[in-house]
Amino acid sequence: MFEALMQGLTALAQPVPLGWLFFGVVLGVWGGALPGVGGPAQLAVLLPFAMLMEPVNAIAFLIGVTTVGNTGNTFTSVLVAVPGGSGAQATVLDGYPMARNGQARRALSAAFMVSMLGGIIGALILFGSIPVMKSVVRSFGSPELFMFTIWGLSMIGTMSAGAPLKGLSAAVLGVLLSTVGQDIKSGVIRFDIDQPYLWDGISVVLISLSIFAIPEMIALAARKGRVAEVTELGEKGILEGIKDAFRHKWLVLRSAAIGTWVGILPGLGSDVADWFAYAHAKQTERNTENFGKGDVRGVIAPESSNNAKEGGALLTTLAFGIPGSTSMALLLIAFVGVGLNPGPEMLEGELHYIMIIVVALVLSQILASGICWAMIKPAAYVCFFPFYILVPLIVGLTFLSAFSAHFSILDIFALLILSLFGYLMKVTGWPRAPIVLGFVLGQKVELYLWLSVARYDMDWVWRPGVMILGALIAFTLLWPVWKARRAAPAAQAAQ
Amino acid sequence: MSTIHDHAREMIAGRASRIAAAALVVGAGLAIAPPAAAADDFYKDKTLTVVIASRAGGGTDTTGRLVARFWGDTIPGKPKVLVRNKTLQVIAANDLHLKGHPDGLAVGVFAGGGTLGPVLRGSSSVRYNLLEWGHVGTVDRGPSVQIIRKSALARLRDPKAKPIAMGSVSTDRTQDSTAVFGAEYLGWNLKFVLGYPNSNAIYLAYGRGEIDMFGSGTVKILNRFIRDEGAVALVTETARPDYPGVPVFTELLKKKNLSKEVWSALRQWNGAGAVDKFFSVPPKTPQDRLAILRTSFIAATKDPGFMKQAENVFGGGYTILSGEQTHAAIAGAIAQDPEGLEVIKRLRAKYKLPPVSRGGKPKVAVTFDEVQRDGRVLLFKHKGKAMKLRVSGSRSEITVAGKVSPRDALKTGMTCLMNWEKRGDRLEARKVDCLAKVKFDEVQRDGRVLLFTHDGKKMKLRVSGGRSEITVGGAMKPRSALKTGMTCSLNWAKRGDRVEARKVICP
Repeated sequence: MFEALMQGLTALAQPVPLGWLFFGVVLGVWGGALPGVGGPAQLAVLLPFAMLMEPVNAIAFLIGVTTVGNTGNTFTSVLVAVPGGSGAQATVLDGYPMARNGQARRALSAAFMVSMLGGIIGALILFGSIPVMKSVVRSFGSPELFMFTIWGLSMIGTMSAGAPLKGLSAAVLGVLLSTVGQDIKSGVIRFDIDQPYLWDGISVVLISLSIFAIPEMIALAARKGRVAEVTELGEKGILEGIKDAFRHKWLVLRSAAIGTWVGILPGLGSDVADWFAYAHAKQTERNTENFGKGDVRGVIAPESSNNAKEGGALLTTLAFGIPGSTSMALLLIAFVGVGLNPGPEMLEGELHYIMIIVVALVLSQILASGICWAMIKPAAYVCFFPFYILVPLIVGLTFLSAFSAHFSILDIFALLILSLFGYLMKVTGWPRAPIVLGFVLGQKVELYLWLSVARYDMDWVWRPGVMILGALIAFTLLWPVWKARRAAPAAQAAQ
Repeated sequence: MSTIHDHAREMIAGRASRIAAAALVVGAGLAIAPPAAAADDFYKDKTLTVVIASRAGGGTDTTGRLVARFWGDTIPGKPKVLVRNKTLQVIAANDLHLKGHPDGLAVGVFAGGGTLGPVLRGSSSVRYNLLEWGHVGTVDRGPSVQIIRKSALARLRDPKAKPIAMGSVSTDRTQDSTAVFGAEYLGWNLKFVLGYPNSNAIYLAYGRGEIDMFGSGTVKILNRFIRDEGAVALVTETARPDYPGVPVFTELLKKKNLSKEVWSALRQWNGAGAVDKFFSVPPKTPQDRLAILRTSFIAATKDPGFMKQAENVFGGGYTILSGEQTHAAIAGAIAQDPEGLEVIKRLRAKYKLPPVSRGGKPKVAVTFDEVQRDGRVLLFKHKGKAMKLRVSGSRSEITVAGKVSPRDALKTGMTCLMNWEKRGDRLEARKVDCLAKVKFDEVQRDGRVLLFTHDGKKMKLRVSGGRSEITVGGAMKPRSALKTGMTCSLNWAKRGDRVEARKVICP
């Protein structure tokens, strides 16, 4: 393996592959920063060009494009509450309040630092798991994946800002919204209310934009102000952000581990890595009363996990030659197109290509964070743009992003209707994160429960992995209660 | 196959003299392209969008992208080729049919199982008519191969052992019919696990040990699982030279002396396999552009680069069908008489698979040229052929405008939806659902509400965008095509506290 690593390093450490890597990173960051531009859509456009390249250059370029989107999409999440991508939704919860408090630079700096660290951790886990890749992926079947989705739903309480019943109701609504559209196994179209537009279901892009972005822009326009409610951004914000990353190094590590695991499990997707990490942070960290109001840990956790996920996702793709997500599928097509054979053949006979992927992944994370750091200072001034400049700009970008859901004008109407609902939730104090989490997990809950019962009847409940995850869920639910009970006597004594 | 070029040459010759005079007036060096050459130049500076009706990474996606890579260079004008994915087959097919612009700039890529299968099953989600599409061509990867985990072989014919889990998306593919008929007639001890979102999920499930059996036509996948994942090829759908020695499923069934209804059922179920991955454009796409796409499709698949990659991914047994062949194959699959339909229904019910609605609802719209003997004999034309059907007083189910009626309610000139079956040496009507011919007094809200008078009673009907099937001038249309004053044939059904149109046929 060491020999393959040296071989891979030598192949990549040439001007041309490094040049392609840099170009890919620039495109990936740019695509991530613009809502609706990056992700699989961007990759699909670049694919034909990549397939004309030499294998090493293609790997460098594609890894650069694919794995840094979650770094670039932090800008809009923090500065204007527009989730730049499906992996940046949770970042909005604390990133945007930090920007409003004049701490945009700190939030961005911390995000990019942990994105780099999380991505490197994910790459290292990928490297370390090469000998046991297949065993790792094989450990998780539909029952275990179902339990993971339940674990995700169990975290709703932590995101309900002291209103657990409202949070639960919002989550249930999110799950119900996820059932709209055609059911794959039976072909039945559900809850389409006579609208062919809904046959394909509601897009997660529309949900996240309408729940977060538009309501925040309406609120900004209503108060006729700026994003930042202070007059100074704080010159030391960037340095403070870097320190935050190391101050909370264990949270970075745990979140990266969560992200890598979510990436390994095909079918869970980028949508949930950040939520899982955010909820985990809220449950396990001390003094979490400021989560949702601008706590830097609420930025660190999701940003670390959504970059670490890339290493995990590559694990399944490389171990089996079978992609676990759309981005990985496109990446795989490109690899095959340039003559590579991801899968056992590559593990046995072309290990140096895997090493090239690992090294490219590490370098991409470092480069992307570096590029984004360089943009923090000018980007942070967006917080001082007056509302009459910012709101139309952001709303326009949001509409563009929404249109990318189905490339239909009805996407805009759907955005407006859902945004009204999102705004009502905001003004009436309903927690909004649970509805998004319920939505992204809803389809997976149904799918994996169905498959579990179809395959194992009710015997799936007794699988070891299921029971371990069940215990983890119980711990997740009971730990905050126990913690609160333990703190209560001390609080009473203090009074 | 260069019909477009022959066509262009004819038109150019006829107009050359007029164009030459105009060219002289305008000046040297100004070439006025004759209208006939516009077809050839149409794709210049344009983008051809290939919409793949599946997620990225599966068989349909791989096939579509492979063709797309080589297609742009073979189309006159060398347009850019952009590939997009649309997740669900039926939804993508509905979109192509109802919303697709017939301009030749978008081509859908579909899988026979996922698109033709629901049609054969009579799925309520189907809003498209494959026979109205312009078919460009097909990449047929070859017959599917059923593979099974070696360690599970011992349980295959042991009904007392734990059933072997067979994974699939739904039940519309030929590998699904192989599994079902294998379970029923060859004694395979199977448990069907349906609902995997796509082929990749099935492969991963096998890799995880969740399922022990699946079918595929992709040689690369099959060989990898056979080589590295402890699988063996159990049966092939039909003989494959790249899998010598593997039993052919139909040969195994022949040894069981099955009835002709069972064979008919197998043919019917496998109808979805008539085409594998096919490329099509929306209805009413201009013929000249369709011809360009057809010609260039064949040329792209003959590119040495394509052939090399196709062999790598599909194996050597893949074939290419032309657009005309694709259309014929689809028409043949849809037109099958449902002799084995009862067998299919029984099997699906027994193995708890999604049911078949075909045959349960009338499918063919006919207008009676003559009704004889008080409704006992119907004469009409179907597909250009004169038909004579008997109507039984007890076995034939007759409804007129939604109301169960005796056969003497059938009259000459009525438009009805019906199906029939052979009974002895005669054809006998099974279900006859006659539509009421009405004139719309008013059409409100863009076709959502119809007001008319029927049998002296004023009626108000809702028209659903999803459930009501509307045909105007022989083509499926959205409800906004319905206008005040139109005379149409329709039927309806109660839905909650409202009455909703089911089928509306307007001239």
